[in-house]
Amino acid sequence: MATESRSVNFAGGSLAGQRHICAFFNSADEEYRVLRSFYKDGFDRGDKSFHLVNPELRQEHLKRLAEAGINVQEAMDSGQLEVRPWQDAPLRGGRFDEDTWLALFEQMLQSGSAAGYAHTRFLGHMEWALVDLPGVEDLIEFETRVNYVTPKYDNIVICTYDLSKFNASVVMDALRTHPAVIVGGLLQENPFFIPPDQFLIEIKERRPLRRSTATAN
Amino acid sequence: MAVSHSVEFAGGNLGGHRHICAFFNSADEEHRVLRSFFKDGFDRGDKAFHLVDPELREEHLRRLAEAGINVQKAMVTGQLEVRRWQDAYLRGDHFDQDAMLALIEEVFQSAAAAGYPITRLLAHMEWALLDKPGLDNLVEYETRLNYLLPKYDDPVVCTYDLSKFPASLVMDIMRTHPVVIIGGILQENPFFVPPDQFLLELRERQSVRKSARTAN
Repeated sequence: MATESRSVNFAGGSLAGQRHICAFFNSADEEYRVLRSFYKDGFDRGDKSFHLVNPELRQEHLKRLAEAGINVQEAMDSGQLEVRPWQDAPLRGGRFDEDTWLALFEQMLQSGSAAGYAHTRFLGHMEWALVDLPGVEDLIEFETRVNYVTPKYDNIVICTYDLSKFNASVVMDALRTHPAVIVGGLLQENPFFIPPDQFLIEIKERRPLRRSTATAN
Repeated sequence: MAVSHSVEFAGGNLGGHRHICAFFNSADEEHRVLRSFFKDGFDRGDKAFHLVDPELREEHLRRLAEAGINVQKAMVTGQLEVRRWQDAYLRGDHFDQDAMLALIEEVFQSAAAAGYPITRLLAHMEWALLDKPGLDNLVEYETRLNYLLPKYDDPVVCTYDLSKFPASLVMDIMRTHPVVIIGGILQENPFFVPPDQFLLELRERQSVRKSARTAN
């Protein structure tokens, strides 16, 4: 249960109860411009930051945080900032295991408050789902199940999707599995959001369809 | 806007904004979701103006018939007009957005003059994926439609096949339509950007691209 709810402002919007956010960007420049205050305000307020990043872009990510005025080295030493490459998080063991990662993700959300941080700001670069490893096709099922976890905590979770890399069908499914969305740099409540109970049924209905198509060919 | 004609489909009721973007994953989904948009229109005596892929024209007519529409009769009376892309968007083998905006206005006006209460316009947008001059103006055209459509009661549904368009284009398209159908449900679109503002954004992108080119 969320204990107290507090306002969080960034990307031209203010978050009410919904804290599972999907952010669509066309470039890294756009991403860091739009999320700057999400990062910076978090550090200023003493929130914990948990970032899941592409291992190849880790240094770039740290450089961008420093440019936003964050003392990256100090924050990493104190544990306020934790930056994990995908292979130590959703892609642990060289595959994506939805249940394992969902449990680990929840532990991450809890670890901040256990260490005394009032809130955790979680950021996930989602391009790990484009890496050719077993299980990554469960991305959308994972995203919808995250909606069972996030309402229990007063933490913000942002999933970023690079529009130049994902295909449009996946992007639309990502849109439908997040109650709040950043599009064109603006944060909005999402009227296209489908609650997880309903979305899981839809996913299940798609499967036999896909299977019968596969058999037909 | 003279009289307001209520239009209901895809689980929603259209208000004043009648420029609708519909995202689908398949033709089955499209015809299931738009069935009442088509059928109710014919039942009420509205004009139907459809812009379709020439290769899917027969398939489209077959699906309309399956929805209970007397296609042959509707085409003979002129209630249903199905036009191929090359006779609309791609006249002269290129895309001229000004000519297309004029054509849409012409269609609305001539249908009104012929006594139809409203025109229900359907546009399959995959022509924008062909290799023709002018196609990079698609998003500009879509945003400019928002100057024209508020003058009319006629709903315009632009369909986009998600399996064919790139995601960045799909997001731009979403931002240029005040009403959107996603997952079969019609909703007012909070991500809609009014045309004045969107045209500015497009101009800014162009100048960024130009200066990037100069820098290289």
